[in-house]
Amino acid sequence: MTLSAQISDPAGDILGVQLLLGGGAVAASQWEPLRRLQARFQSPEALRQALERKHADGFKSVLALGEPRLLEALGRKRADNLPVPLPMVPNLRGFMREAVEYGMIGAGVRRVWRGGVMSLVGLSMRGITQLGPLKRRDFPTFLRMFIDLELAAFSRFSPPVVFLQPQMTDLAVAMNNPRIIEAFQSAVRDRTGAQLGLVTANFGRLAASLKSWGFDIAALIAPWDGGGSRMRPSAEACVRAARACEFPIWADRLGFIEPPQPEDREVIRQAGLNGIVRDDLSLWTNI
Amino acid sequence: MSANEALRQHRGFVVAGLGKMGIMHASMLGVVSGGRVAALVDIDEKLGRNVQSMGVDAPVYTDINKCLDEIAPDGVWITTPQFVHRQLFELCVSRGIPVFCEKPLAHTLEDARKMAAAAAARPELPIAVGYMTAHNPLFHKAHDLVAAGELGQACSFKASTRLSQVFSPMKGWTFTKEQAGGGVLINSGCHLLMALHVLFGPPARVTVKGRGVHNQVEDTLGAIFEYANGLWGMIEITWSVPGHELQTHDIEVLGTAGTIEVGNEALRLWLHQKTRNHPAGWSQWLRSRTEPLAEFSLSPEYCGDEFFLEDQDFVNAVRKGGRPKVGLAEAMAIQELLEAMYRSMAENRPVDLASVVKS
Repeated sequence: MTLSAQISDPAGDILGVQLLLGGGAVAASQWEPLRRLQARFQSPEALRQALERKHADGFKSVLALGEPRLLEALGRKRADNLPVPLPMVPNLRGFMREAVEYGMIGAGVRRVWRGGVMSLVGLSMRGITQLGPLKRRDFPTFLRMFIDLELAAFSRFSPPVVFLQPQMTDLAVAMNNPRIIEAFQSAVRDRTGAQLGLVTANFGRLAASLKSWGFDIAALIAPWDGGGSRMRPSAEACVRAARACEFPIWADRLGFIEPPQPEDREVIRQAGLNGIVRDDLSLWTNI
Repeated sequence: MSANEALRQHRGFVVAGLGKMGIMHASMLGVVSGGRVAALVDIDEKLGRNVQSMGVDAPVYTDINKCLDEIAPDGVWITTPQFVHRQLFELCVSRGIPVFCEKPLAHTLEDARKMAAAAAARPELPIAVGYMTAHNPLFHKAHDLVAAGELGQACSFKASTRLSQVFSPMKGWTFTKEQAGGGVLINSGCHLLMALHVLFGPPARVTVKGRGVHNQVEDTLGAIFEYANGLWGMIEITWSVPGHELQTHDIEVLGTAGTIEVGNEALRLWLHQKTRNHPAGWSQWLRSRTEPLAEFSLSPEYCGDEFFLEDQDFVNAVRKGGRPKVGLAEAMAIQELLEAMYRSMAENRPVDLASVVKS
């Protein structure tokens, strides 16, 4: 079975839960309905029930940040009545919150310590050869370590694909540094055996970089909508890049909390995209 | 000489201060036209090595004097904590080097004034300050709507900056009066002040109540701004409320003919009756569909376009001449307003902005 068939609902979509977990930016007029939903689904039990409903509606997978509440809702092992989590790593939001207080490196060290004894033991066994790079504050080595720690919590679900968080993907593009993607690849292969996915806000440039970097990418998520907004550097460049890609692409409707309209579906279909990462409020209001 | 040959002859830019903002600007210099990092500076060499390993092909210095001697850069990004801004700024300006200084300009009005005086001695130098909300066209569009009288007479507004960040006592320079200059107002709320400055210009009088909830610096504050034309507004700035993982800046203006709601992502105009330019009811402009847009974004959910645009704007000013869009005049206006607000908070009374400007 193809990856796309494994993780897509009948419309080709993947479920997103960032809004429900408190992430994402919405206009002031949407604070109230969003807050009501966040309060309603704040317990892991309520979140699990909501995910069960979405699975019953046809969603086979959910794009998942390593948030404790979501991990608890997903349970101790992969369940037949829940969407399979597709990890998006690393969880930079939590990291940046701590960086305000402890600085970038301080926040990193704290995160490693919080990983727990078993993760640290496993990490140190794998990382024994990495002591030199760690001492030199080598960013890709740190990144690999963070991803490794986060994936420890996801390995019980045997995710078919793991996605690299967009700021990391786009940092690699901006810096023209494939070592960042290599670090991701190495952690994913060692910890899960899953295929590699990337999330980006800059698909046009990423597509050009991937040509020269030569990674075996299995899936991609990039901004896409009927109006062409946030498709960087331009809607035309993204459409050209998508047509040249051999892996499935999902549309990230970043910043949109309304459900996709028929014209959005048509644009996505014409560009040959697989589907949409659905992270809109309407998904949850009808539960 | 071709454009590529010209670019090769450029010496590139220095990024001084390698916290998260330094990393962000160093990354942007990899994608803005005419940008290139020539050197990294931080007193912590390990941070420099960390940023190098992200992909910045540039040497690391712990001594900025040595860096400027050896590199002679085209410009310097000052992205240190604000209590270090003045020292680095004066050094660069005295050497005739253009500066992009992160916001706020300084942690005190005294430092900011000395920086402005130093820059005044070198008026030819491009100086930019990192108030990225001033690069968001929605706030300028809102200004234009108000100025054109679409709202009738603008009577009042309410405005807020909200962030979910501080729910317990915090460590670090950001949370000390001595080093940051204050708390949520100077660190986060200054962006809202710049947006209000774009819309309405400087207020005549401010009345502010603020307090630390978890820290010695203010974690939350409320303010009333009064303007010479009779406009007044209520302001709330806090980093201790849930539901705002990403910082939000929102302004709602009430006029005799309608209302305007404007924030980072959208501008909405509501009119009681149609005008020559707009229908009755709602008109909407989304940031994601309003030019100028950035061709690259590292943080699309929070001002990613503006981070790119402010960096491109400064590089253009250095490469092609001209003034950066947000310079010392705008930054000093915010610095004086910050001073007036902190005085009002400390002395528990209204403060006229003119008294600060004259002091």
